[in-house]
Amino acid sequence: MPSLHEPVALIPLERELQERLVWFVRLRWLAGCAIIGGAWLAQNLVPVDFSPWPLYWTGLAVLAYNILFDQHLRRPFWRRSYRATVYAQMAFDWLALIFLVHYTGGIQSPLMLAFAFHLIIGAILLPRSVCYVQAVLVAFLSGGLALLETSGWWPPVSLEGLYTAPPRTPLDQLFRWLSLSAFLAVTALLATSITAPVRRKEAELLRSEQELDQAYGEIQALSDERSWFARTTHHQLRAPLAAIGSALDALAYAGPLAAKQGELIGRARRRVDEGLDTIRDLLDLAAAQRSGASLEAEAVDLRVCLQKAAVVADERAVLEGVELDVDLAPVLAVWADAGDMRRIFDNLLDNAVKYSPAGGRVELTATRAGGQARIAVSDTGIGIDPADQEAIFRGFYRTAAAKASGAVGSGLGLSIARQLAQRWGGGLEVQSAPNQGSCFTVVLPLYNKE
Amino acid sequence: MKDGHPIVLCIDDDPDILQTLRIVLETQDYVVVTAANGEEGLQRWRQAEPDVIIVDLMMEEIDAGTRLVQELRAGGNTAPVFMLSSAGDQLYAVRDYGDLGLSGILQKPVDPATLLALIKAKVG
Repeated sequence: MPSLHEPVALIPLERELQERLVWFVRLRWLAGCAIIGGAWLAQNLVPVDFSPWPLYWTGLAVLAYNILFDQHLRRPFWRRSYRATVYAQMAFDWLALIFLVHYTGGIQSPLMLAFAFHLIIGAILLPRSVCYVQAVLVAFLSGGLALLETSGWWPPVSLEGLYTAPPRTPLDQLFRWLSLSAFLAVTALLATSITAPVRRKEAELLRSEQELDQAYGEIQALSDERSWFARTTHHQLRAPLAAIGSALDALAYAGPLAAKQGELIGRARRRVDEGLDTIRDLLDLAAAQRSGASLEAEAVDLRVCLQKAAVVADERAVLEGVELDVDLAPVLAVWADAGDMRRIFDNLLDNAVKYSPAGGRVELTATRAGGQARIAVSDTGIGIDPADQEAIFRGFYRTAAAKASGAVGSGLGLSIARQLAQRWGGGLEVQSAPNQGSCFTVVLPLYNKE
Repeated sequence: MKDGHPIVLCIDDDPDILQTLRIVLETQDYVVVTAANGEEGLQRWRQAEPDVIIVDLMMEEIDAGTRLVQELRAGGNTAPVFMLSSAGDQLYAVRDYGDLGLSGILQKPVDPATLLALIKAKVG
């Protein structure tokens, strides 16, 4: 784990610094123009006797080196050496600032304050140590300027008329330089002290974000592993039961069976179906309990989904001598997981066929009404007593009539189907009476493309 | 056809299912050829020129069955193809096999009477 203040903290800072580099270039166009414009105004509007040309040249120089930086930032891969670019920009800016300060009155110039801006921006964007180095460098630069001006090597420019410069005695220059340096040092200290906790918080946030990302990834992996496990287990559990069931079914083809043998085989076969049903329900239950990351929503064409479910159900219906009628309205899309939708309708259709007597009828209809898809599965089966109509959604509950019917089931299917329908903003209701058949209705919000 | 009997190619990685299919089909005088995986299935298909093909959806891996059906199609197969699957398997099938040109999808355990009726309707 990296320490709190080290590389981790630099990542968002680095990004910001890179973005700011481009911003600085834009700002510098303004600064260059402002220098030239300011000099022109001072020359023409204020009764000050000075030559604006050195200022014009400085402004032009700023614009000129800004062209170079602008070109540099348009090149690919400039980000690789962006730190060098930052320091180069700073060096050029300071040089320009020294000239500006000199031609606007030396270290008495109010433009000296511009160094403070650089320090504050440095404190925000650069490491703390760089900010202190900056402060020391500014002190040296301004000290050097004061020395040059006082010694007469670079004669000071006076803006007599704009403001009255005090006499440039060495002591005065020294005092100004010392107070300026102290001022800059305090600025650097204050600015970095204020930004340090912000940076620290930023680093903490970043670290939490990374931890969250990692945790999320772990949950995702766990969920993937779980569904892989469920899938594999399902297949491994089903395969032997399916083989046993197939073999039992084939026994009659291997030779004639005595009545008692046939009865025993029938019983064994029913238990195989029971096992297969339970395995399917357990898999569906695992699917119903999924949450968050492992849910994959998409626009599901209910018509296609229902048609596929009907094909599977019809196979069983034919075997049991039950008629299956399908009537689906066109274009029924819902926002859901296609697997969940299949589980709901496979369950309902399987129940409807299972609990209908031979010669019975199952109807699958889908209609749209008021922004909702209504899918109804009705049968002419054993029906459900009103007293049981809530209990059947509870899970592991089977009505007495269902048990007596001889059909196998775990009693989980309806509770799972309702959970799945509710997950996608819908519901599952039942209308039924004993021996009058049942009608299960799934209501789901239609998918709205907008 | 072999001596007037239709040839059924059964491809499944479960030997017990293969043997069950063989017993049921042979009682009705079909000639049964079996294969334990997709690759062997393709090989047998070339050799035996079957009249009907029965393929398991979930063999060594998910969708091995659908891949085999696609390869059979690409190889110019004209024999009807039935796919064996179980309800849960279909949910996990990556490919949609609605457009594979299957003659039918059968749930395991397969009811022999249904299977025989389907095959009879195709090849007599």
